[in-house]
Amino acid sequence: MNPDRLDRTQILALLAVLTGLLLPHAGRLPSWLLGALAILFGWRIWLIRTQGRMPPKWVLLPITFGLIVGVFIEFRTLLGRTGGIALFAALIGAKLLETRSRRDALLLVYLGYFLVVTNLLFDQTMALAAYLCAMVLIITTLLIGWHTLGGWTGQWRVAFKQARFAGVLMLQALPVMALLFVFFPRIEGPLWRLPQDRGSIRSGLADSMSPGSFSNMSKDDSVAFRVSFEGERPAQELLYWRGPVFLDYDGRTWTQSPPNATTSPRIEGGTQPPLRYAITLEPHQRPWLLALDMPATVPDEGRMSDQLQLVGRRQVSKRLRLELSAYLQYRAGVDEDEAMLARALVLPEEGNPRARQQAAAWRTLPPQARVDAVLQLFTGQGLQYTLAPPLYGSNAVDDFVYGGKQGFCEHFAGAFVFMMRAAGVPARVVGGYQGGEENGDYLIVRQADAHAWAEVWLEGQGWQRVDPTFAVAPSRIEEGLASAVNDSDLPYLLRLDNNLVKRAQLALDSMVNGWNQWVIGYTPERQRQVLKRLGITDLLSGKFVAVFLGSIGLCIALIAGWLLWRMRPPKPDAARQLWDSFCRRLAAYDLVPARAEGPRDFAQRAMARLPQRETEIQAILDCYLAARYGSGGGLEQLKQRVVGFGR
Amino acid sequence: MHPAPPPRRTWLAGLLAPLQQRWNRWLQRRHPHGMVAQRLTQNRVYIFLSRSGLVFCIMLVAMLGGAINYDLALAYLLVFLLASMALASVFHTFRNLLGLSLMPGRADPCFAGEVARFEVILENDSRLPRHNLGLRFEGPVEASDVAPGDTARVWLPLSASKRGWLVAPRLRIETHWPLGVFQAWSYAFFSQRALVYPKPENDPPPLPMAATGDGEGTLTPRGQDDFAGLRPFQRGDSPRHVAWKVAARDDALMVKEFHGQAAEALWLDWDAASGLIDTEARLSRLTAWVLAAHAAGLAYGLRLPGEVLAADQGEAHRDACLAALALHGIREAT
Repeated sequence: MNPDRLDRTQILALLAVLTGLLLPHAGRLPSWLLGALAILFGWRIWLIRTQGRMPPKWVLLPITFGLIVGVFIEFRTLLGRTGGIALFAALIGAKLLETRSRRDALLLVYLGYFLVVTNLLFDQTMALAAYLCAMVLIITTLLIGWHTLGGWTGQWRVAFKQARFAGVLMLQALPVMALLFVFFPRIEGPLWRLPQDRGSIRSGLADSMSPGSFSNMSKDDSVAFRVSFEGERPAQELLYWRGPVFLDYDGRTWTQSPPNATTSPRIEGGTQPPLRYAITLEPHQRPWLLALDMPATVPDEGRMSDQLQLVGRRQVSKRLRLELSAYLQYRAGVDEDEAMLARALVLPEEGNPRARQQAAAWRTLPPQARVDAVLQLFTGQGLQYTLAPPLYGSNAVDDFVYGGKQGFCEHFAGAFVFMMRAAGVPARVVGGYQGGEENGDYLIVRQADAHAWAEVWLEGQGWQRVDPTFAVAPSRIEEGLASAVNDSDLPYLLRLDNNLVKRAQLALDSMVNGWNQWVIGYTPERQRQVLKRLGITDLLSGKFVAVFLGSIGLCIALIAGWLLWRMRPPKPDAARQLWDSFCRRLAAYDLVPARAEGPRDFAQRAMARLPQRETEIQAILDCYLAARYGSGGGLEQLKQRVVGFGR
Repeated sequence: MHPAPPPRRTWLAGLLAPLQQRWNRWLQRRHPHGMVAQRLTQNRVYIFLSRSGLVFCIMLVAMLGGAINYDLALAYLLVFLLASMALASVFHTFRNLLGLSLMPGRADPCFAGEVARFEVILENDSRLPRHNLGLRFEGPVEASDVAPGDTARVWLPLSASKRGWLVAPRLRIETHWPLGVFQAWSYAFFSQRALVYPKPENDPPPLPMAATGDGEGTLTPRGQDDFAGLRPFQRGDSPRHVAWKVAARDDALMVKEFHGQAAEALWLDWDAASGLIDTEARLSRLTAWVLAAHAAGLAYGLRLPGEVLAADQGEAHRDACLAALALHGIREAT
């Protein structure tokens, strides 16, 4: 049998594992390609069953070429993520039909490892990791199978043994893998950027605020970010997570003016030291970063804008962990730029006459009194905080304050800022998140926690946060959304009661958080922190090399030592041990068995040399032969005789 | 005859030749010579990336590039897992050869132009099995497993072109187990010898009965009716002499023996192969005659210049004759 020939069981296993690796891509590939792949895979299986001949080159080449052209027409590129994977899948399908020998199959096995990576481009959850881990085990089993004599056919036991060995190999690799993961110098990507790579799904805050934009998020229980505080967690009503600042109003929509990061107002903290915390943002495809109001430090990943907003250097398209600190009491922008203050007073030419008129009447009051007046108006009007406010017309503020009186945070913040401007106090809307849910030692902030509040500028105090929602519905701020509205409208996770779904989800989220923090979120910065804790300040310093290579060397030495111990010579059986001891005794007479000399020949030689002990030697030989090669037993007797021989 | 094509890359070969020689000398100093058992100790086992291992490394680098570019922590993890597995496999590959004992075994004689076979015995005195050990001289690889505490026998082919002693070249033993990323290998210089008989002439003239006979030109070898008894079948016996009735009854192949007369013995004489000047052609013809005479169950003698083998029959005699022919004019190798 040709040792290079492929075993049909192995081919089937290879087909199965390739299918398993292409399966998660099924939703991303066009249906015609899936169909073509199914046909190619089916064709290969049919060839195995019928022992048929492989298609010749002149059949295979046009098929391959056709698939490549099809992928190009579909995606307009052969690069990038989805296009590249489609091309890859097409090539694997074609290669299957010319896989005859182990060498061809070896290439497919390597491509299988590569397919594992393509799956990670879209998703890095624990579940997928576990699935892919099983796939790697199967691929490795196949690889071991190719390099072991004999195939698998009809011998699942053999395949199982090889799978077990693959598992052992993976376990042995784990320590070194962990060390490499921690120590291998991380480089900030990307090295190259391909078209279509930018994330397409946007969730979370938008760069404008119009009626409904926040209330639409109120049922979205997906995670926006997670926070772990260094030390005590501040009270719930202080947890304002600052996001985009909406400065411009056109009568309907508040929009964010592009943040300018060249200058930023001065921020002074209170008497308390800044609060330090780490925030892990889920990708939201926007440039801004969320930070606790008011950021005390600016991280490397971002800058502070002229609107006191943290802006990232690029879009947050992957999970991002930031080490930040915040002043809970602050004075920001006391010396604010005149132009900014002027912009914070601009109102549309027309609209909302009633609100304008009422606010204008307060212009004579001191600024702080004007703020209180508007808040009192809101509570006095009996405004209600609700998840489903009515749709208001072109005079949205008038309709809300004096008409419908039902609104969500965007209505409150918008109306408040409108009236403040009308009263001559510079004001703006701040978007972000409020509160969060405690889960163990960290805080989960969900999209449903999205919130809008106001900021007014007061002489000598700078920008001050005012939350009109808090004035009307304090429980929204103190206890969360669910307490302020009828919570049966909300998804399970957002409700107040400690239901089972919620508890299970929280436990899972805790695991996911650990995974995100330590595996997915192991960034260059994180690596620097971990190494600093080990006393290594510089990558490529002598100490780093010593610790890195030393620990890997230790792991390797353990593997080598374990293997050497396992392959020690087998322990001889009891009879052989006694015979060896007999031989050692004879060595005193210069009698040493030759390499190829059996016991019988050696005994003959010994008897010839020592005729006076002939009977003894003969008896020991007989006992030994009986004990070792005969029916067994007689060990005691042999022992006695051998011991007796010494005297 | 076409002139041999000029060897390509001669300058490179010229540069490498001294290195190659040094390498061979160094190897020969490291490994014991002769027909002795050889244990593959640590300093005699070499290990390096195999060709598919190179592809594996290229793939890992590509995967690492993807991991960096897309900042995929799990892709990093996978690259490191595969790299660590390859690293661990170094030791598995190495130990697959380490401590193995190689022993030279028998060597089957053959005719020139055929393939001689050399036996190599592998002894595994460790507690772990050894997988897929490939052995070869230059030609195809013969692979074998060796169970713990067991031995395996591998027969290695080597094509023989010339009669005389065929000395086995350097034996290479290699393994790619388990992942094929690394290969470990070692050498043995056993210098096993196999006897290569001259190539029997195709379509030789009939046996030279007349030259030695009684004048009739034909010879009745042991009279077919002087039945003498039965002896066990040996390879080379003519099927015509098999006692088929006995075989049907006893399940044992027996051959009928007949009385032969020494005086009627056939002499295969160097001079009888007249008409051929070339020594090798004569030896070829004599070889063919020896085979024919043996197949016919004749008693025959062989007369070579300087060497005479008295008339006899049977396998041993045939082999002695073939050996004499193989070594004719060749000084006994020491």
